Amino acid sequence: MKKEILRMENIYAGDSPPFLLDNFHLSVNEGEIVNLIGLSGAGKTLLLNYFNGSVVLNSGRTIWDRKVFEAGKAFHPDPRLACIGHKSTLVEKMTVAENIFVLSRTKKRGFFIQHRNIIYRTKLLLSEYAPDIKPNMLVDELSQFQRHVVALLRAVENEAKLIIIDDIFQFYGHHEIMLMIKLLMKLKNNNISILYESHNENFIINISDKVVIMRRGMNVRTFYQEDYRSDLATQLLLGNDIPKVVQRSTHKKEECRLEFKNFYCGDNAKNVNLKIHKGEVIGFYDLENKANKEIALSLVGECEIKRGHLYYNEELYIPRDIDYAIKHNIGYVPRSMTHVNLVDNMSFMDNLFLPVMKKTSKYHFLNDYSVLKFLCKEYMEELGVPEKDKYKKVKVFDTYIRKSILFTRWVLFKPQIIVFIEPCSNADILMQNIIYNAIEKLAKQGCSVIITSPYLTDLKPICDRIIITNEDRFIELNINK
Amino acid sequence: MKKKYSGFQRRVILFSKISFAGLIAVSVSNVVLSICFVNEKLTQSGYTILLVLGCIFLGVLSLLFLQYVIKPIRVLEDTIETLNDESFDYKLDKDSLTDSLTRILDKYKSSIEREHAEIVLRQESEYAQLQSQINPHFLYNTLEVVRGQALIDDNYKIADMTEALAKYFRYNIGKDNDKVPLSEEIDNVYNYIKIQQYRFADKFSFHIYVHDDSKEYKNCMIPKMTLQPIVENAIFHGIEGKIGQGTIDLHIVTTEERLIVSVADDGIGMNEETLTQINQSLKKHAIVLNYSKKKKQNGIALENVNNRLKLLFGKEYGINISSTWMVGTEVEITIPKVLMEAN
Repeated sequence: MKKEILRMENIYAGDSPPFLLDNFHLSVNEGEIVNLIGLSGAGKTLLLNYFNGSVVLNSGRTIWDRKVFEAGKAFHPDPRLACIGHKSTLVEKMTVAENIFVLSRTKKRGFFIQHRNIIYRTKLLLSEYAPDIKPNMLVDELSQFQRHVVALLRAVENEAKLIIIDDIFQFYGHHEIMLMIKLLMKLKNNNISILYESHNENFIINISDKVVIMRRGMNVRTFYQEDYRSDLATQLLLGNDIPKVVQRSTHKKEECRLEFKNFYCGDNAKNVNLKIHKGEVIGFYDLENKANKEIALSLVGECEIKRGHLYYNEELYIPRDIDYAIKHNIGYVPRSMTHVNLVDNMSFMDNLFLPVMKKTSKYHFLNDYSVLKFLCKEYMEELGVPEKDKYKKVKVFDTYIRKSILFTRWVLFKPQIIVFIEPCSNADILMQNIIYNAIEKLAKQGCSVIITSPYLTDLKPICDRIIITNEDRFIELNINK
Repeated sequence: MKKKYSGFQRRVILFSKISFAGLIAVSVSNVVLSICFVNEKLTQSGYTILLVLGCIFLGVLSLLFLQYVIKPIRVLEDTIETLNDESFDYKLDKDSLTDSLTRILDKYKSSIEREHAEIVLRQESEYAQLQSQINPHFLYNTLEVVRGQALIDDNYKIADMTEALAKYFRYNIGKDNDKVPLSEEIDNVYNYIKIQQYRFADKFSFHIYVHDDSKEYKNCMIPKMTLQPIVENAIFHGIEGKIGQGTIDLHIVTTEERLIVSVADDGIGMNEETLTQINQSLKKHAIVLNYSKKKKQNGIALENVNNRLKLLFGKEYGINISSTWMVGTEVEITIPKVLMEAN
């Protein structure tokens, strides 16, 4: 018989409409995997923050493990309800064993830490769930996937009944995804419930008991394995904000922009012989997400070139660093955009035109504001910035507008080559559309676009060609044909 | 174990003790003063002043006793009289005792009102049943005749449909209990769907999914006619307006404490304004609703079902609705899990 461990009823967050959580309801039973899907701003992170105890609800009630939490009071964080988000809660300078057992909050321990004991117990736990991780390894040395495994095992040690996970699959290669799915299934079999929050449907769909679609703070539909329909789920996610379909037509020219000759870089990319044309959008796909990234990163000096040559506009090019690449009109959009993000305290206009100010200024130092204002008007509608918010700081805009500004900045920069590292990771359908539109515009300008991703589904809609790296071989997939 | 007193009790006892102690103190001091005065250790004026002071102290004590002991008891008496009158126009003074009494009276008042609303609802439903019970046996017999004739004519579709219709009427008109096992309610939904599928041909498909390992769901008690109006709404306000085929999915989930039934369709849904209106009316307490005005609109079936559920099981149970314009609607019914008694 199912035991309901979490129940949220008629939850409202926010004082007035539009509410951040709007008549939201959710039910999680023991040993159940629930996938909560919602676009950016749907209220998923707010839920996570509520369970961390940092958000207070305005109305409704939560029943956690038979305890009732009424609105107006913060949820009392419970070690049996673990939250695993993008920010790691592990201590990097401590070992795996210490992170799992010393920081565990459930049992009373003695004053002294018995290393032998905790290492033995960690070994036991790891042998069951993750044999490739060693108890003495420092968290600092672990990959993103391994850190998540350690965080999950700490939750197991804390006798967690429910683990809330915030979209961690976006960091993984195929092999890691399979391992994580196995691990989650093991936890499920041990009667631990999982609430997995994500932007879009992903690998967890196949093992989920329930799929809850969330839109604008509302629970709009609960699907079960038997009746889940991807098309209906997408429609429910978007509601009536259906994005324009990107009309893709190739802009590939005969002129060669970049050529790899007998090129070796990093540990996995070997003997690459490839020509990239002007206006071409090329995708690099690797199941393990390694070789593809190494090739792309070598262009901006972020990966060591071991052998071979690189010809840029038919001249030998030796990459040094990102600044050198940008000087040579090679753009770079990393996976995590935190350090190339917008300046929060500047207006959208200043953010948009900052890198191209030089091109529009008189004598290279006097800003021509009439030109900037004209451009501002041109882009305002396109970016979805309302007239009244023209001079507001960009921090007031939502994620979609901010990302649109960021990509439009690159379009205005007019690079000859641009490298995108997993642009669609952590992107929902609307965001994907913004990214594809920007890539399309760049290609139209004659820019050669290089995209890497561990998912073919991210590359297919936009690429002219996909290079699949498989061990030492390269397979070309021509999308247009 | 130490007995815990309420605020009222503690206050009355405390002030009684203070008054009593004060009285003893004044008496003892008066005796002492008198002895001193007799032994000429105190002057006459001194003796008089101290006696007057003692009297003032006694007066203060009496006032305290009146305010904190006598007055609350009077208030208590008045309130009890209010209860005797069965009048609900009470307005009690702000006081810890009267506050708790007001709370009790409020609960009492709402339970009386709830009971009244329940009676009204039941009477209405009985009246509706009476109206349709003009002659149920005549109806059943006629339907049986139609079915028999259809079988003779080898028209199995009409026979099948008539059988479903007869079963549907028998369930709805029949004078059974208010609550029925879920299996009966499901059978009624199947009969209803069978009739509607003849009407709409291949317009929609209907599925029931059960998420219950223990198979207890069939014996869970549910108020009669809870599911059929929801399914009817899904067909007429969801699927009918849709271009192309639709789907209605009914999920049954049982947990340790609850029975959750959801009806989801991929029809035309409803706009945000209508959804907000319906959600607001569903949130209202059942007794607030006005039964005299019978609006003919989408929400009325939902409102009725929701009111019945809230009246029968409490405000935390009932209906939850979510909808997306042109994409679909989901209605979730939550009631406590009550299993049918063995006998």
